Amino acid sequence: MPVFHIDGEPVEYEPGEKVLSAALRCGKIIPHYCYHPGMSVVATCRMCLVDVVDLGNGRPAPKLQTACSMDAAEGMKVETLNPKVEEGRKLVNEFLLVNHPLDCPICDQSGECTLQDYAFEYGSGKSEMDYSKRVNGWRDIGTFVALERNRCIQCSRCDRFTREITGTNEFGMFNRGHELTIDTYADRPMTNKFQGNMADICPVGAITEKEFRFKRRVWKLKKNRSICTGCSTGCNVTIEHDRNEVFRLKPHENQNVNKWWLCDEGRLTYRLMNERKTRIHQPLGRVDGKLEGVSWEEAYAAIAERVADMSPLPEEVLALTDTHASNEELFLLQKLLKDVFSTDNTFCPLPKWEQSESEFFINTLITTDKTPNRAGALALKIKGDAKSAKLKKAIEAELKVVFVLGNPFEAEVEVLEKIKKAQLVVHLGTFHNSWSEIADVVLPGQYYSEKEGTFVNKNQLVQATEIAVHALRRTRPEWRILADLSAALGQQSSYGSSADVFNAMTEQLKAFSGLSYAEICGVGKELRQQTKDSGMKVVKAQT
Amino acid sequence: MFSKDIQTQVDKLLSRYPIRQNALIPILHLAQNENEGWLSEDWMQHVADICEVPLTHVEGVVTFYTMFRLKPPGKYHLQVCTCVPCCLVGGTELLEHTEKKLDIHAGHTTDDGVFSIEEMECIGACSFAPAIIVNEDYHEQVTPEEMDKMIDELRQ
Amino acid sequence: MAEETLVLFKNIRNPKYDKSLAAYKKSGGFKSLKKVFGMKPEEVVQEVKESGIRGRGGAGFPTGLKWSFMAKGTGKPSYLVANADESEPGTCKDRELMLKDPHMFLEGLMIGCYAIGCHHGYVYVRGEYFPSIKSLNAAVDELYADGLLGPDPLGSGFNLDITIHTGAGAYICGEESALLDSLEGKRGHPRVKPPFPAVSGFNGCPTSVNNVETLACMPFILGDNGVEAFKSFGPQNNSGTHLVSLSGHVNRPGVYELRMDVNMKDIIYEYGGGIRNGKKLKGVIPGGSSSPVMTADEVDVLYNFDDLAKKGTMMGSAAMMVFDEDTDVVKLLHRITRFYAHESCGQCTPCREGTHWSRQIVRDFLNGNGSDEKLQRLNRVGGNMMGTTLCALGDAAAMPIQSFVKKFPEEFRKYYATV
Repeated sequence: MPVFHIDGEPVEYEPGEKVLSAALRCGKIIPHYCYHPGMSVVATCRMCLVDVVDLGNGRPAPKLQTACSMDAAEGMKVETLNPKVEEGRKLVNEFLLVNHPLDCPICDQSGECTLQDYAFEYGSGKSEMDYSKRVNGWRDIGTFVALERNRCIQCSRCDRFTREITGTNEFGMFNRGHELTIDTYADRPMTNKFQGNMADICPVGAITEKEFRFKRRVWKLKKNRSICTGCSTGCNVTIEHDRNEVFRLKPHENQNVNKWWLCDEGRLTYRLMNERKTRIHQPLGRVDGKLEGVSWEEAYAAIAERVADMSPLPEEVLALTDTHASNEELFLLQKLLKDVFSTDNTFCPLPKWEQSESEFFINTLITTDKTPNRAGALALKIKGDAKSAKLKKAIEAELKVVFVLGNPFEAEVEVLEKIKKAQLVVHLGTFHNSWSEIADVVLPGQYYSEKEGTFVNKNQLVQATEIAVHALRRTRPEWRILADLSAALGQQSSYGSSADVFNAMTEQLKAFSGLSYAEICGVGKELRQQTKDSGMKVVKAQT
Repeated sequence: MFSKDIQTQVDKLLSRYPIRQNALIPILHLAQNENEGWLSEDWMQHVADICEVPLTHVEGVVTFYTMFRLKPPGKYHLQVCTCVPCCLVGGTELLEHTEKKLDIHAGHTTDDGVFSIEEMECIGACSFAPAIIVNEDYHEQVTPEEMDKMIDELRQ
Repeated sequence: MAEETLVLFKNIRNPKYDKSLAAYKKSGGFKSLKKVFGMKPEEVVQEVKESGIRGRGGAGFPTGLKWSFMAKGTGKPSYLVANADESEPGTCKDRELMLKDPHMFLEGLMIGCYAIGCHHGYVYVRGEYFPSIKSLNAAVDELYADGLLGPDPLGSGFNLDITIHTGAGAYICGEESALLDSLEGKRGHPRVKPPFPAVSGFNGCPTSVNNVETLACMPFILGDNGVEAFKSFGPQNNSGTHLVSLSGHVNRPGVYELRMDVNMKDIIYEYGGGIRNGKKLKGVIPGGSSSPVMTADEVDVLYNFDDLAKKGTMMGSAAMMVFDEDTDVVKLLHRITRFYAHESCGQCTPCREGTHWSRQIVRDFLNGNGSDEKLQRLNRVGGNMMGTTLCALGDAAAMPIQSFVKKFPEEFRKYYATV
């Protein structure tokens, strides 16, 4: 690859690439506001001014050039640390602060504000402006975000976002010069489903998320990488939390999945991470018709005893789960039924779903399949719609033992009625639902933010969640519950972690062969053998 | 919304450019003229539909250019230049004189809706300063007395 | 009174000229176009190059060179757009051509179209120029009726159309890339360059934007012995005659067509008739408000591109604004900064904030709150807009501020010195 030099160090670039893009890729810091890799170049903030001492033809550029609009060239020499560039950054910073309000003490962006960071790093440190500042006021611009126009530095990222990324043209630039404002016109709030991204790309606190406003200072937040479980796209996120409370999800860049974006619906899944009232807090056993708290050992012992009494035949045992479960959970559930009860009657619903097609990539992110692991279930060959013949037949039998993981067949009352008749119903789940109401034993699992697990997204990419917050004290991750349950029923195993289970899967299953846990936890990796999904339909996205 | 004659002009304009959007500004001028010198939301939407651009785009264009007005002007719109060459030979004084005579400031319309005043940047009549435009007509080397005379005549 | 050198104003100075197509033809019009149709386009460009004509819009870029930059073989149509946005304060020359001899300009436009292979030329006229727009539209109608525009002008087989396009009030649309954005039906925001208009201009196609006066010179240049004659009107690299818009405190303001080797003193005192009311000269803004100001003792210089550049200023659009000893220079600068603050498009940081802030500082002086420190600050803020902006408006706003502070510091001090 051709090479040019920044401050004497060689930087590789692709032909046609701009200086700033190549520099950022190689870890060089050139400050900028308006540049964004996913949108067109406008070169209006002027913060990325650099000194091109050699254009590649032996001659210097006549004045400072913006790195974001300058094509890299062989033999080019760029300097970013000399006094000319320092002066350039200082003056741009000064001009931006001339009309910017001193809102830091009350501004959400404080701590992750590009203007704040650059003012500290490159600014002159004193103000020479003693006239009244331009005042434009607060605007309600949408369901998800608010606009504080005084803070806007007119970088126009939000304007380009609604034009180039979502194609909804809700934002625009109005008036000109000193009066230039970038917002929605009149009172037409935005309705696109990706407004949260505009708060992400805004370098200052002009656009902020309504959900997060005034809730927590960002430097108190701990950040863990994970994946969104709101639908089968599995966008990469960071879970940002403080003292075990999750405050927001932000997208993590992954060019193979969600690029830089996250939909608003996905951002709101953070609320479930904090939900406590409907959580199952401890193991429960039914005594005289009522569910009472028991210990884990008591629960396992009770199940083992009843199974030994019943000695169920294979066709008298059944497991129901849903595609919210991780690969490890599905694998171990299947294994439990196979090893202990010699049956493969594990079912989960796989309703039809729609994938949007659109000239705007971001519209393809939201699918109608609101579960994260449909492809995993398919890869593990677990299937069974409520209307499937095999399931219908299975639940008609005189059922003795039924395991329910999660909340499958939520709306299918007939299934619930049939299962109710079984002699022993064990429910593994995180939230109280209709299954825990009829179960004989309820074993509390953990939510996505509290456990590790791998999931396969709609494009057959295997990705993993990371433990972000502490789980509820008396819950255990489902993979562990299933392993312990197997052991209590006579099948020992030696899994020490979720990763161990995954590694076992890569050894025993062709679909998962050749994958390593470390790779999954990075940017994700595709399944070697991919299963065709006959339930998917491609539709044109609504604009 | 356009009258038949103007619609013909609109269609002719659209045929002179490779892309419909290119005709936006000339068509907005026609729309403004049809609507008594200003652009309402309905007209902006109509032109947006004709040129196949989003309404936000048209609003951005209308707020950028000074000749597009979002509120009705007077019957006679007095555009007085006070830029550098006119300023040197009495343009500012001419504006103040006009404001005093009509008892309104620049950017406003008289109560009877007959006159409105707009302060202009250079209108390109520098060697014939001070210059003004009344609706679409240039008047050059205007003295305060001539201004008074013209206003009185127009009032009839 | 001193004599003009009549090339562009040849017909305009004839009191019997009625600007009709018939009259233009009678005075020799469209002979050059006929000759051009018999040449190869590259030959036309070469002649224009040799004539040494430089853009008359303000930048003074050699026109022939500009046309030779046009990208070829792109598969896209080429465009020639005439810049009739004339908004630089002090400039009122293009309107004279459009109002009083539109056919000379249009013939020049047609010659340019042929030279760069453009079949549809546009004239971007500023929206306030109602009389010029009417004049041009009438002239274009005459050309279509005569067959000089349309499928087969003069039997050349080179189909040619012209459309007169109106702007809507924005000085920034005189900048060529902002003009192209405006022509495309958008806000007039200057574009990031590269790519340059010669590669990607109007709707992404190769485009050349040229000033009205520049194009109006083409019939003469491409006429018999035109190149040599054109070069003879001025010193090396400053060929041709040009239209000088003289305004301000002179006895005879007006638009004069002069050679490029006339002394500024003569323009003020001979052509302009000296300072009115018997006053003394204080200073001159030589080339539109964007040019650095000159004091009275600096005007002994030839009025052309290079001689003025050597003096640290610029000829720009040849708009001379003369001001006398009674002029309040600080008020004048305030008006200039107000102009740039009003006309800034607002895209880039230094211009958007700097034009408004510098105006606030000058107003502070007028309000009696001046100081040496504020004078330094004004100079610094103005200077920070130089070379850091996306387009030349930043430089245009910076130069008057810095030159006024440098040349007339005592005028500022008058506002705050107590001694």
